[in-house]
Amino acid sequence: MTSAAPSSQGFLSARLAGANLRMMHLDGEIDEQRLVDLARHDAAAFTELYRSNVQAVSAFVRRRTGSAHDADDITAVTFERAFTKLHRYQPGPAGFVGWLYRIATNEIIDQARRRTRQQSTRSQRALRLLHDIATPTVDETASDPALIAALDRLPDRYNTVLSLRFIAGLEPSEVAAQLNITAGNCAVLTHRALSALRALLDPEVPR
Amino acid sequence: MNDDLEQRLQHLGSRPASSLDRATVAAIEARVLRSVVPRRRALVPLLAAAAAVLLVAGAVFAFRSDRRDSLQPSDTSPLVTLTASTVTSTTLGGPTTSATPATTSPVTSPPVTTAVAPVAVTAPEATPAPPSVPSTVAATAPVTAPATAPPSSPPSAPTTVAPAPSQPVPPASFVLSVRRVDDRLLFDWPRYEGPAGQRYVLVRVGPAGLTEWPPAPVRIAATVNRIGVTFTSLDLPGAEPRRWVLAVLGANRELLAVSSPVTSN
Repeated sequence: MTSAAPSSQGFLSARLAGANLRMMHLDGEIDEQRLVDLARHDAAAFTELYRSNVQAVSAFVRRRTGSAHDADDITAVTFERAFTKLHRYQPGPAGFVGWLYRIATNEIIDQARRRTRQQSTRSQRALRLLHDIATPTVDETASDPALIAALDRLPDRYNTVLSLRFIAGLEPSEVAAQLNITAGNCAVLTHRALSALRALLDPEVPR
Repeated sequence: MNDDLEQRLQHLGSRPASSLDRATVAAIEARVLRSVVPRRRALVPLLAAAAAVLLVAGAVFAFRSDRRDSLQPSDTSPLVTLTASTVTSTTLGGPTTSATPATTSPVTSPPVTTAVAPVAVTAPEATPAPPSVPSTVAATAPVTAPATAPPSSPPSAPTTVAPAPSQPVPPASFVLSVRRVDDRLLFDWPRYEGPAGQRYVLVRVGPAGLTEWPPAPVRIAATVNRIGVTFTSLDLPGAEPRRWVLAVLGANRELLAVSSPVTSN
């Protein structure tokens, strides 16, 4: 018995409806893997997973996007997707939060792609010129908006490996597990991603 | 060569990020709730309809098929079968009766229902059953004998009616979930991943849970004949608490796993 999408009744409710979950609380021990197993068929357990990880996911997304508004949006989408794809989760060295980081990174990439598409349309450009309503995609308070913008322009795989490795702070083995590649391939991928990022930031510097 | 870039990325990753306040956490919760639950609720009627179709198909199939679809193990005692079409019954000290489907024989007068003493009923090709094999159906159910039964109606598949020896009930190994939506109970469970699983059977149990297998037929609430389906529903008005157990059966109707009991309201 491993896979099933969780039921939605009582989803994200404040109550701990599941008897198994209550017992775990009584025991004072909530093992993450047991919680994930429970969440596959117990909506209340998913609430626990959400509350345990929402701060970490939100912080990662804020750092990666530099935008608090985008972060809330992406965080919500991340948990929506986690909820619907929970049956696909495979325990790995990075744990459940590592899986959430991966989902969040994919969503960041998708959102950047959508934004690029929107901004490239003539009507959008004309609208911006007319009303001067261009909103910055990166907060001015962000520490390195140029770096964030360059990350968004990287190929997806490079973007993912750098985001997980350096911004989420995962170990190389954990990144490799998330990407389903070997540690050696992960090192090569990271090196190439850094070189590509450098080329974007400073085109004059040879690779 | 890339050390400075790594440091720049790490600096970005270690930048202080204010934690979400409770209101924001709750707002994101609410947003996820709004976006996920309606989608799920929209699916429920479709899934319930699909489950109902499967259940009806399964029930029809079970009626029309041979022992393969009963809940009894295949290596059980000899079975007495009853054909739904024209059957010339050999009675043992009782009246001779025959059963004919209504679709093949228009009945002009009200059908005569005859309560029969123990009757051994055989398939058309079979020889009369030995006296030592009583029919459990005939002993308890009346047999309807229309007046104008055509003698040469094609026989249909037999239906298993004999009980089987009980099997040991394994300890509960997974969790069955149930929730009520209006007059409907929605059950879901994790998929059985074992190689031998063939179908699920939802059983209403008493306070002691599932203590014997096979259970009394009246306790079987639903059968799901596809191992990939992990939900079913029952239309059950009222809020009377009931306890349920889901059993997983193998290809030979052997009991593979059972869920822990769950109580519906």
